[in-house]
Amino acid sequence: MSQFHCIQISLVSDIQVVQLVDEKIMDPLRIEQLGKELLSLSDGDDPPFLVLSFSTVRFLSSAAINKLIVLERRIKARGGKLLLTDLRSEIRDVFGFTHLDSHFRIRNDLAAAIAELTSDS
Amino acid sequence: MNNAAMPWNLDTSIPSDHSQACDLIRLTLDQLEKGSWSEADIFAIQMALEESLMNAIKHGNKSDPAKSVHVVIQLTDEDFFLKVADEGAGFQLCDVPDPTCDENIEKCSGRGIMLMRHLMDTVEYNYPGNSVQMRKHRRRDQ
Repeated sequence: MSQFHCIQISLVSDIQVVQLVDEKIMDPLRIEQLGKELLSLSDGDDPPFLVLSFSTVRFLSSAAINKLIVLERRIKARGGKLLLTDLRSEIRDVFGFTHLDSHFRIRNDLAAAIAELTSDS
Repeated sequence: MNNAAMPWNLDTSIPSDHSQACDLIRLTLDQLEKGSWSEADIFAIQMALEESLMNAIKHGNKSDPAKSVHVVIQLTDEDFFLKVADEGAGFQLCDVPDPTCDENIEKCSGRGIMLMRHLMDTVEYNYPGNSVQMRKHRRRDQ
């Protein structure tokens, strides 16, 4: 049984694809859990190369965004790379006007993200 | 088709409890969906409602269950109005770190306020800063 409750992991071309499970990421306890699960993915021996898919997400709060920022910093510090994909337009706008689009690598779809990480890793 | 009973007004107080805030958000979203508001407007209102309630509970009332959050919502077919007041000492906007600066990027405060100001048409704080009211006009061009 998976140890994860807020994410689902799959392997595509040897790249870890992390699917966010919740449609609305706003419950504080659930966000804490999500943060722990995401950070656990950056704990391995090798630099983490991850694609984080938002295809199911309709809403996320600023508290959830903070968890993503911590994850991105951790992965970058370990020499890895994090790509975000399949963000609905409203969520992508949020990353834009908070200037977070300069901190995160955002790609339109999973195929583009996988192709980029496959050539990098 | 518009099935909502407009106008819809809410004037209530909730304890400093996240689950009750989430219940209030769901109740409001249900009214917006019944009124056939657009996905973009609903996203904006949900974000503003969620951020203002969490700020009031966490930063205003310090999550003290003995303190309450007063919420006023006035929803018509054209406008959404929200007022959220807490029992805290308030704050000054100039003291809130700019969340777009690199040194503040990991701080939890500031981003929610910035989001509300971008997503709503007007956002106003009282003095001493323990009450915020905001308004969004319905967009019909989508």
